[in-house]
Amino acid sequence: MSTIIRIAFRNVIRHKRRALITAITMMVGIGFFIALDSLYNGLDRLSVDDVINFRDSSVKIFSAAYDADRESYPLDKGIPDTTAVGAWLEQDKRVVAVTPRTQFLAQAGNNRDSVYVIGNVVDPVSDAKVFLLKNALIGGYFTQRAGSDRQVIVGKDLATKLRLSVGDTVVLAASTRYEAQNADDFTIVGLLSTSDPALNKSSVFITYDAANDFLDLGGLVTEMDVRLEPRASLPATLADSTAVAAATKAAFPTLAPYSFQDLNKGILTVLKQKRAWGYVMMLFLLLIAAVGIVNTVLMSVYERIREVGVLKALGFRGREIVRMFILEGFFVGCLGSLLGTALGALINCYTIYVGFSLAKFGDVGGGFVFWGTLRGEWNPGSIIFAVIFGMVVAMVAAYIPARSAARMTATTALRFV
Amino acid sequence: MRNIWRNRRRSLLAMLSVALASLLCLVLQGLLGGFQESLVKNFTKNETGHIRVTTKDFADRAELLPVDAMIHHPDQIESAIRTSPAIADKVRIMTERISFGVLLENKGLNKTAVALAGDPKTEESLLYLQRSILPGGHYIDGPSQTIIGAGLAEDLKLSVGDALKVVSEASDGSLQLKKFRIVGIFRTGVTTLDGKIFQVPLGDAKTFLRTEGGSQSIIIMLDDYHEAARVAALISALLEDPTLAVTPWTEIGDYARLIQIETKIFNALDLIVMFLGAFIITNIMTMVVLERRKEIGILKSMGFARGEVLVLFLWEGVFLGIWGSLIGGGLGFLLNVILHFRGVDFSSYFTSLEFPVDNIIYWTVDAPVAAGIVILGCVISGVVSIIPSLRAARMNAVDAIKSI
Amino acid sequence: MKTRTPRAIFTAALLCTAGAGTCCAAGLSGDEILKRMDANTSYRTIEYDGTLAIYSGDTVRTKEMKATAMGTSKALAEFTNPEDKGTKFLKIDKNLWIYFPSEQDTVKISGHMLKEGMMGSDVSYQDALESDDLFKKYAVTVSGEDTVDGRPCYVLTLDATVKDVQYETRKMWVDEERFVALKQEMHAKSGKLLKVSRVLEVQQIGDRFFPIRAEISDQLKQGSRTQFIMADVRLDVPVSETMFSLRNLGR
Repeated sequence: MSTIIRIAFRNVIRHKRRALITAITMMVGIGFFIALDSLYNGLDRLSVDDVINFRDSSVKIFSAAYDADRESYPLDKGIPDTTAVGAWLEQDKRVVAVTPRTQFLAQAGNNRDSVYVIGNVVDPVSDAKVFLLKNALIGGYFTQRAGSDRQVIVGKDLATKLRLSVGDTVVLAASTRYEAQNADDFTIVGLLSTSDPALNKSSVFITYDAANDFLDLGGLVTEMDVRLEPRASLPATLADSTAVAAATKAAFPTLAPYSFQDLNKGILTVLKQKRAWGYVMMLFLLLIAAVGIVNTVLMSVYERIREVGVLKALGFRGREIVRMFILEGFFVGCLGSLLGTALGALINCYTIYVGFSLAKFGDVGGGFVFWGTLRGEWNPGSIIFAVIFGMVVAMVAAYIPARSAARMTATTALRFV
Repeated sequence: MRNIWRNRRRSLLAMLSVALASLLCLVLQGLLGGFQESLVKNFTKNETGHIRVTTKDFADRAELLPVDAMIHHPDQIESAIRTSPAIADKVRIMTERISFGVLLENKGLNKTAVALAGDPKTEESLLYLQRSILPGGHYIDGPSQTIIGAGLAEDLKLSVGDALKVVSEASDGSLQLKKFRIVGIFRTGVTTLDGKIFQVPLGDAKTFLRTEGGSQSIIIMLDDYHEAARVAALISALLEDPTLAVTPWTEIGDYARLIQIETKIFNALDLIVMFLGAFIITNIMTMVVLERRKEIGILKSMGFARGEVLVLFLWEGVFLGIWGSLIGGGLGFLLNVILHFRGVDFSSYFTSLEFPVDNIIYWTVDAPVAAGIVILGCVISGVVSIIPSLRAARMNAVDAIKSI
Repeated sequence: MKTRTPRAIFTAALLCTAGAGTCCAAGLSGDEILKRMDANTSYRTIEYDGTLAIYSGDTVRTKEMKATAMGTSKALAEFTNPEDKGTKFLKIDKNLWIYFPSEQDTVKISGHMLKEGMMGSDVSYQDALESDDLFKKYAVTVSGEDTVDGRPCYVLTLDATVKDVQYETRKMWVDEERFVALKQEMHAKSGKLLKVSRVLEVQQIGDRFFPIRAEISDQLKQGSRTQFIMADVRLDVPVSETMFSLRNLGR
């Protein structure tokens, strides 16, 4: 057997050029497959990150009582001891920061028209540690200036609808915690432009300082949002979210914590769908690479049928000859896969550590603010898949002609041209 | 010529590979086109269609789902479009819709919701909710029937067979109640749909809302969504009604942006595959020429001049390339056409079959692109044959024969 | 001795009227003025033909109804305008039912749905069904005198003394002679003016002065106002309690 291996290896070296060409074809196919797969994962991640960074965070916690009535945005049934919950969460290594929020129903108007909106009360300092509103603002964030407690951040599309912009006054009308009607002038300090149309069209953000007065809130907190340590892959991110939510529920039975998956089944389904399409396309990539591999291997085997004759004359049996060719295929396959993985890894390094700044997609019309970077993700699974695929194709491509060649008698083979 | 046939296997192999590469590229083009079309369709089918005809009044207040901003004679508009030769061919689906906010009640429980009213038969290929109906129920097959989201059913404690009480303000400002029979409950997995939406027949909605035949919008799906803006302009000119707004999907909502990004990504992928295809052709051709160095030596020793050798090889290379591209391109084009009319249902690849999207992909057929790919294949084959042919021509006979 | 200010259905909590209007002595306290207003509007039963006109910019929607009420707890109204003909609203305590003749069925409105504006008007179900108990929840002071529509009025300022009121501050211009609040301003906690109501017509029924035409406008929405007109008002007429029942709706 070892003779065969040696012969096979030397054959490959002898036909360097051919082997190289085959290997390069494999390299391009496999390399791009890996890179694309990584980018697709990155795209999914981007969509998920958007939701985490702007709307849902990694874990969203309500009191169980509030959760049952969430649809009507009541201003009671808040989380009773937010300090205890916060402290407990922060000692979990996976948790980066925690922030309180309160939601309320309101109408935003410009003294002519008014629109129903969802109001969010935030603590400007801790909120910035969990959410990334600051990065999606046109204008500015909340400031600490004295007399600044009537500041508001509104969704960009909402402002457009009411024909308002940064610096203008918007009238917010809402019921206080005690169901009294209140309305007040708020100054717009920033316009929020995210990839979430709902946020852009119907949200406003005010501070707890303002809300405690405006809504007679008394510091009521209806939800807590958690930022977790970023993980390299999407599955790990989702797993963390589920784990922390479960742990919170165990530690505080009267709370209703939601993991990202709980809140966003719809998005994850859509992503899975898009992924499936992505796979189909990557399949094409592999198919084309396979064509290249098969072609070169076939050609090289047929070229050397005369060698087969020689080998047979020398006493090698058919089976051994087939094995030899397969081994050659294997070696070339190894080379190609290695090169391909290297290329893929190289591209991945760029996409993962540098990434594509989405600002390039910039203004796709309508002043949509794109920010952030599209990054790839390491996916050992697909790398392994691609490598195996390449090697199998190379070996199978070698096997088929080899078999028919090996069956020939020595004399026929020798006479082959 | 004879050279080619002499080494049949090799030539055939080369040609086949070129053909396959061209074929795959072309089929991928069609597939990508089909994907994009499906993407646009799924984004637009629920609300705007490729083109939406409404009154301007409605367009201004669209989020409020007003029922007092109706198109009064939608049937006239539809027949005008259908009888216009320039437009009728481009339209694949045209249907009326009304969406309105309602208050639901059951056993003392209230919930606000949105009703989607359309022609049940047409909506089977648009809203697609029949796909998501849970066992024990069925799709709408008669008047006064409704299918409701699972979230709605839960919140109001309703089941199949119950009556759904719907209260809404009608076009004339009066308050109206209508009872529908729940024939099915759907679960799409999208919480905003399941918890807020229910579908009813258009006729019932028109009576209930006292629209006197009017509808909120006419949704139009085209054969080619790229033409939306152009066709919208044509329709606008045809109708000549300043109170109407004919809007292409690109001007409504935020998804146009997202789709443009997807498009860019698709295009990038396309380029990569084409590049790979070209690379493969290059490979093949190079190998073909390199393999035959010995022949070159023999030819030269037989007295062929350098120039003649060059032409010979070049011609062979180009010949193979042309045939390969033509066959591959031709087959690819044919496949695209077949798959365009048949379509492939990708539903089985998707884990969530309940999701209300159209998973059947219809390949797009683009003759200019097909021709382009064929030509590209030929050109590449030709170009790639040049250099090795040159080298072959320059080789001295003895070296050539010696090389294997 | 205070009474809750009862209201006919669909009038906002603003139709307060003056008492048996003899003396307009200066030096009346806020409480006393309120009491006189109260005396005008309190009734055991009431029947009337009502018209609700909802203005929104250039459009008007008009609803006509026949209404009957017993104190503050029970009320029944049947619509008579052509589009809504036969539709009935029934209120018993804090519950509201709507009966639709087309389906011969009833729908119950509960919970936070009641906060919505009825039929798109500026009057929410809550406004109509519940009243801010002025005496219990506000501290009243007479802050001056003014003239409204040519009539001299006391200006009352009412500041909320508890948190759960609809409006933090109210200002009332009470007709000194007839003890009808000709104008009311409802202010939010921030001081912002939310709603203004005006009484446009007052009728003398027996020895009371009853406001029969009032208009409320939402100050936050331009061009948005609602008018309520009562015709053929009959107070304290015999009314059978059985008419305020779900069973009765079907007939």
